[in-house]
Amino acid sequence: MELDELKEKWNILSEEVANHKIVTQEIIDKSLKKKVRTVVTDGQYALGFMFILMIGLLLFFFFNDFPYRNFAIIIIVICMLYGIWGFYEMSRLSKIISPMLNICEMENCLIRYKRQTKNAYMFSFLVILPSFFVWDVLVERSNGMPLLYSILKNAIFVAIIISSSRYNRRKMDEIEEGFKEYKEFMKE
Amino acid sequence: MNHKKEFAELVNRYKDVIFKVCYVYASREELEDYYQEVLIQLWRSLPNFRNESKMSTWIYRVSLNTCISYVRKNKKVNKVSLIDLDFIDNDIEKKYYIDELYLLINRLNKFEKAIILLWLEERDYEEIASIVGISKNNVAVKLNRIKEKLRKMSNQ
Repeated sequence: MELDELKEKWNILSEEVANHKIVTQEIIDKSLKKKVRTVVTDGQYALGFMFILMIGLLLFFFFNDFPYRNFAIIIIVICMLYGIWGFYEMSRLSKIISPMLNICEMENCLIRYKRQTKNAYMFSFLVILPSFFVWDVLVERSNGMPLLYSILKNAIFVAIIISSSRYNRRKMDEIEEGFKEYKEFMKE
Repeated sequence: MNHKKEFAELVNRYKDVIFKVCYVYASREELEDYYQEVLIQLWRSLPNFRNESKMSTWIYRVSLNTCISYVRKNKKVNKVSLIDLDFIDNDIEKKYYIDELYLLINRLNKFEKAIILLWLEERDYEEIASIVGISKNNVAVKLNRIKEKLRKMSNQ
């Protein structure tokens, strides 16, 4: 293809774009909503994945003889109950994330989502991780392993949760920044 | 002039240009995100505009830089997904031409895309050189290479 031919095609595009009314506010609106939906959907997938993992672990402990098995099962059941509550909250959230919402309603959704994820991370740090650590120490001690082994193993889990929480916070900060900028220049 | 008023006028005047720059770099799903990103960048940079260059030159420079860094940030260049320009859906022939144009431009690298876009927008060599930061002669050389590349690609 020659450049002139390319130019002809470009002129067609230019004509179409010129004839089409680009509604800037609509485009920004859609873009912000899409970002909120992506963050919430990612959260739902993560929760779904964790839930399946918990079911797998529960079945594993149920059908295998393991030291302190009941303790592990209690931790998993607590996690699953929390997961069910999370699903319930997420399903409520996904209902209200509709393209029909205005930006303020979307922002409210994001605030609620932020609160939920904050609670989830707090729950992980205050309940799940300490309980898992205690169980792990008991199991490894009964196997004659040093405490340091459990500490290192749990440090990996802590690192994973911290990085996922940071990633989540960064995403939400980006969207919040978007909302801020949007409101600022739409005031006019 | 009031910053907000000035910005609103600028967006109104150059939205077609911004849209076309985004069109060259974004995939269908990302077009709106790119458009928003460029507007935010223009909004932030407007107070620093010192009338040292033409307004259009500045708009192209900011839009291109924003799109290029957004591509880099997202680390994905969608070469397959066509932009669904719903407003031309009724005209199959036009849509075919625009799809063909999109597919060809998308096979160029980020820098080549910027040069071809500016050439297609009928910017003179001097302005292209000042926007992309190379010499006028270099623009001519690069355009020839792009021309060769496009010819080869369209024969494939």
